[in-house]
Amino acid sequence: MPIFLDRIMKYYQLIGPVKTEKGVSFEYVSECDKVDLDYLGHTVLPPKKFFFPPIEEMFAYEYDETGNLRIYDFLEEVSKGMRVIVGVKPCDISSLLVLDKVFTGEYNDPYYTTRRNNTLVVGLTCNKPKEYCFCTYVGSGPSIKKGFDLLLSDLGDMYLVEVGSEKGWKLTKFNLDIFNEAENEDIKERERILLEVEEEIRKKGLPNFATIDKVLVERFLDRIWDDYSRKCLACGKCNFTCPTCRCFTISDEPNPDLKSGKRFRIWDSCHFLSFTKVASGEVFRKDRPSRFKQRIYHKFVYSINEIGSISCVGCGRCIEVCPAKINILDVLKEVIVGGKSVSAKVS
Amino acid sequence: MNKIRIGIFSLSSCEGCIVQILNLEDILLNLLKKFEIESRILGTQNRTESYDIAFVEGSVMSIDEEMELKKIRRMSKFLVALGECACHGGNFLVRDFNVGEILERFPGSETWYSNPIDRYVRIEYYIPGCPIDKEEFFTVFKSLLLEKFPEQISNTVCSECILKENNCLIDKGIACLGSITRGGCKAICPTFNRECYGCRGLSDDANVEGLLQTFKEKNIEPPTHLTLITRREGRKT
Repeated sequence: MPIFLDRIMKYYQLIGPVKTEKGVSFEYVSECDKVDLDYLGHTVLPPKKFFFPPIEEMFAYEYDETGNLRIYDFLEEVSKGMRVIVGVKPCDISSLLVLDKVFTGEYNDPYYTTRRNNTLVVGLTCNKPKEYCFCTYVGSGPSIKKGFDLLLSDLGDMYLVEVGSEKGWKLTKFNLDIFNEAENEDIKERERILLEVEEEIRKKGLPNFATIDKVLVERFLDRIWDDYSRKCLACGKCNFTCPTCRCFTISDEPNPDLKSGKRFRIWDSCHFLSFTKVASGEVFRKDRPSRFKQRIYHKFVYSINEIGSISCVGCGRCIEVCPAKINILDVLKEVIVGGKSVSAKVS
Repeated sequence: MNKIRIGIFSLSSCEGCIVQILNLEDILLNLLKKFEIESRILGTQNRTESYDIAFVEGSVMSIDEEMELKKIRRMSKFLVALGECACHGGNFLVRDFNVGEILERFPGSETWYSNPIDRYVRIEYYIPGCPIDKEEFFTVFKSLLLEKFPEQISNTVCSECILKENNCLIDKGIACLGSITRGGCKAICPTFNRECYGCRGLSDDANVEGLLQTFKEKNIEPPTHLTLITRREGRKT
């Protein structure tokens, strides 16, 4: 594998999971032996940050001497150079497919699309789930059928490589000397491992979330939301670590000459009071329960209308990082089994 | 270009926020070239009639300072509270505790006040933090030159901390206030394994009770100054 990564680095910028003192993070790597393909579960922040950065310069503006406004779009910078991101787990691959539906669907986002087209995704299947993994219940893992250019599976003494696209095939075609043809047993071995992982996750005995949207709609005014919002610290960590959260705000920053400046877009969180603040100063979701609900309803209800699927890939990041230890699975379980249903009335 | 007059004033404080402004030396020199900014840092002599923007750091601790502040207000188009002391009363609020002992040691101190400046005058903008973040100051400064008010930062320190992919200090049993504290500091303390002590004040609709509950569940002793923070924020409203 180091040889393969080394060769990739000759032609591409390499992004991979790197072990730091804080955990494992996706980073640009300059030495391929820094790439840690044995990491368990998921990185702290999802690979989303390389396609939709936390702070992104969109364009610079400038009034020239004649008073005309000129715009320099940073899209040109974005389109330079090809990248390969290795070690993306199935949940994160699925999350990119969710983001694709949002950013390349009805409204095409050139920044995101350019980065996606510039970047090859080399996936990596899991040999073991982490404590909070629940991909099986939302249909995003542990096996995955699409969304990758190459898919690696660690079989102990070697990696099984599945080619998922034309671009992925090219990557292997020019390096055939380091690949051997896979045997049927290797493929079976991978299936066995993935089944094992799936069974491990199934042990959690969670209900099926496929029809959760209807139950959620019924319980829109349930007491559950008040209870949880008393616990929720509204810090926004769940949003920022979520691989599918995609809300942002726009900010302009002038340069000292005041005649030029830049426009940024910055990740935003539906837990912040300012999230629904409009120009007049009005805030639509003033109370905490309404903001606590928003994340869950967007993921499991509104998203179905928007993009045809739920926006949760079961990575478990939001559960792991929550300082108040609110578990989205507990919330959903409680919605399904507990609590008295109060019929919602919309006026 | 009209001459833009800037005043920078200091009430009771450690003057650390002004040091932060001076730390912008390179940019400031550039600005002085372009705008002929007239500034009165610390000096109070030769005052002009009016200021376009006045920055005030420090909290009001005496009647003299109250008068001074009101005078600055009358002379200024925009008034910006600079730093923790001006925004929330700052560490001088410690005075609220153990008053008896202070009175014994410093006779006459019963005449002191320690209040955020918006208790006395109208404030156009707040730049919180102890000390202020010099980049945030500069951003606000540029916006004010354009007569524009930037949105008051409303995220939490937690949300900036996770962008640095830090491990949670609460998980390590440390009483970090990042989840209820207004962001903008780029989570500098937790990044260096120091708990957030809330110097930027409470975030919008901060869930203090929720955090206390979390601390309780994890057997974390809440920091004593949390009472101070909640009390001073209670004063503001």
